[in-house]
Amino acid sequence: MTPAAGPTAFGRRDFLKLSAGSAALLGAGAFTAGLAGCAKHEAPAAGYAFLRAGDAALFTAIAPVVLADSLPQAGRAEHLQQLLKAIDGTGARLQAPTQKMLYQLFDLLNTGLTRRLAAGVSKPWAEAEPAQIEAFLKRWCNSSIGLFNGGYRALSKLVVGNWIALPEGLKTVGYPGPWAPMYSALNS
Amino acid sequence: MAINDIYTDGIASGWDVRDASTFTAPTTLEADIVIVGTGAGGGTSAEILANAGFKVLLIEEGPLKTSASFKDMNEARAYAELYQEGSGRTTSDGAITVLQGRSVGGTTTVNWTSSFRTPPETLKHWAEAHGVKGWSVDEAKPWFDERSERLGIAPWGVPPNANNAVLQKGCEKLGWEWHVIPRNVRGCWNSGYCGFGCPVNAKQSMLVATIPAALAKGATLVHHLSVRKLQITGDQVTGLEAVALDAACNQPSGVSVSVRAKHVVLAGGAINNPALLLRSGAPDPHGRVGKRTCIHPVVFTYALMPERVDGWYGAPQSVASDHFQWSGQFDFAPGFKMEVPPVYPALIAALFGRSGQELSQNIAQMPQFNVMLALMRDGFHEDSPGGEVRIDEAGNPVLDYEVSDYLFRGFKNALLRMAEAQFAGGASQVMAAHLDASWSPSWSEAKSQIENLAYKKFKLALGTAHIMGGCAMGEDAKQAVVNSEGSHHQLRNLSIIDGSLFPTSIGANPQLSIYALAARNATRLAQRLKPAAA
Ligand SMILES: Cc1cc2nc3c(=O)[nH]c(=O)nc-3n(C[C@H](O)[C@H](O)[C@H](O)COP(=O)(O)OP(=O)(O)OC[C@H]3O[C@@H](n4cnc5c(N)ncnc54)[C@H](O)[C@@H]3O)c2cc1C
Ligand code: SF4
Repeated sequence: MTPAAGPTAFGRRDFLKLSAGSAALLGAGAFTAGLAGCAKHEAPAAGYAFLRAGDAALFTAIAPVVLADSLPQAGRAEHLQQLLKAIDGTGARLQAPTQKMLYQLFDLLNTGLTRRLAAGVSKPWAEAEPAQIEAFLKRWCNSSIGLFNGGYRALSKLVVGNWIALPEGLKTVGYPGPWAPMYSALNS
Repeated sequence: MAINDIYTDGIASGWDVRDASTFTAPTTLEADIVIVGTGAGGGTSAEILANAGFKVLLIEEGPLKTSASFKDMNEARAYAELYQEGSGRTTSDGAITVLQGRSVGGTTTVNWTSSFRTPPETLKHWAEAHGVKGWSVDEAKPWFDERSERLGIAPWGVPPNANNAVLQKGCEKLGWEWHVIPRNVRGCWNSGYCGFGCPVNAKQSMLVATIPAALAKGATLVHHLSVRKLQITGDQVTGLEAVALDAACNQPSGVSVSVRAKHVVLAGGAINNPALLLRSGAPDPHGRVGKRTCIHPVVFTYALMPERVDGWYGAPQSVASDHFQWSGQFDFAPGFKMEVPPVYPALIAALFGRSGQELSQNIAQMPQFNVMLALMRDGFHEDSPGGEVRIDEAGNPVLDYEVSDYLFRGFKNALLRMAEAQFAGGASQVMAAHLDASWSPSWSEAKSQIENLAYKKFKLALGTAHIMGGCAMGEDAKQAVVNSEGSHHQLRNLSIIDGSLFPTSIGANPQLSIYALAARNATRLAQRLKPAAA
């Protein structure tokens, strides 16, 4: 691990402690809810099939930071709502083993102690500062610990993959739209 | 312009197509031969067995989606409706993205139309190392010829799109082997939307080619129906237990369906076939089911080109290079095939692995992206035995796939060669799909960066669209699940006919390897079973 890629928001000693413990974390089934000490069987939030209330809050907080300018300022609240619905749909279509893996990740990030320790975010997601969230994403991306890299990939893939598949997201990557000669021939 | 929807017309003419989500009471279905799965293996078998006079029942857990629902040319709709787990399937540790199809036509409905014959080296290796009989280069050739004819397979006659052209130009400059990819298309518009379902029925997928032919011969197709278990008595499969799925094709509807047939063909593909055998407690005296699941693990590099590429348009794959496939130090690292993926916006953005301004500024340049990929030839060396399919407590399939140092060395080789090809092909900047990588403005800088990356899971973006094996064929029952013609070693009336048969990966995109082997196996099966009607 290069120092530059190391932790910033929480102390290096904490991080090392966690690094040493991360082998145990991995061994115990990665992001086990047991370790995170949190309820396993919470139901999805109202209107959702997969995301629980805490998971929705997590994505509401991180999505604007993950997407930056790919999430237009105008109409942001509505876009976020669409994105959450899309992430929820993606989660709902997964089979149980993949769902379980994601829930373990979400549990880790939604339990005060592990959120502080593993993500370095001291406040609940709804109150977290964008700068803190950015630091958390960078740390998990740059970490030399596979567990964090994997968590980062899972979160960012859910956000980016679902957003860029939506009409407003598609515009931000310069996609001119379905190939016009075919699209107009078939849809006129 | 209206494109005739094959199924709307066919059903109107009397085809027997049923949607199990509409079933309201438990049902029993009967047939001479039941085929579980409607992809490359199942679709091919269905046409041949129906033509031979058998009463064929095709079962598919995914929905029936046809050209009429593909005309929106929409990526989100495709991933949600046409892929296993809504395209979110991964290996058990989450490190490798697994793309597989799940609708009538299986993965052939969404694949990218590249159609390669099994390389001779692979066929020889199977005969020598895996006890496969009767499938030598000469024995297989007529079946490749016949399937190529049936599915309109020919080298793509139109110049490659700009994304594929980078690979061609790079190879030409470097003096590397490259070839034009044969595609299974008829009347292709060169649009590029093969991955979302071809909206004009040009792709000769099973959805378009063989399943309609089987239905016209009197076969029955039931979709939204998931087979959960084989009922086994002694050395016979006596029936299948299946559950109807709800209209969204997500949850069981609560209606159960039993199936009786004299012969059962499993064609649910790798991962799902072994899981079904494991759930059923099928005899497996040597513990072979699910073993040697090979995946052609894929790594990627991005290039920024000086001009627009628009890699979302045009035949997705038309150029490939085998320069590093069959010559190299294979005791050190595997060979690989180089290709490009289509630049489908959500797929490529999700793969990109960045966040914040770094993400948004980069993906805003997607019109200028060229993306390259390398498929590792796994399963050919003892340090690359493939993964293993197992089931969880509820019987859901889980794929464990360990990435060995042997494979990591292959990934490094491939990233280097792809970056080199991209610069030779005119790229201004190149970057490996790795969390620690950054754009390099020259081949020498890219080289030193790629050499020094950490070769680890999650750091590297890893994916697979080719799941193979897990029900390996071979004459030795201690090594293989079925014999060389796909007959189960322990169960008399069970055949397996699809990509799960392969004892190693192919070393090329696998669909034509499946079509040819399935055509041979289904033909032999028909000869063995001889219907009264024939
Ligand atoms: C995006 C993408 C692009 C690709 N591009 C190419 C390409 O260009 N060239 C190439 O050669 N290959 C390509 N492939 C791979 C190729 O299409 C597959 O390897 C091939 O289709 C596999 O055939 P199969 O018969 O083994 O299984 P599949 O085609 O996957 O079919 C299996 C079917 O069985 C169904 N099923 C499974 N279990 C059950 C059950 N229990 N009950 C009921 N139904 C069940 C599944 O839903 C599925 O529809 C691509 C794959 C992907 C994902
Ligand atoms: S490129 Fe050809 S085969 Fe693919 S979607 Fe377009 S018309 Fe269909």
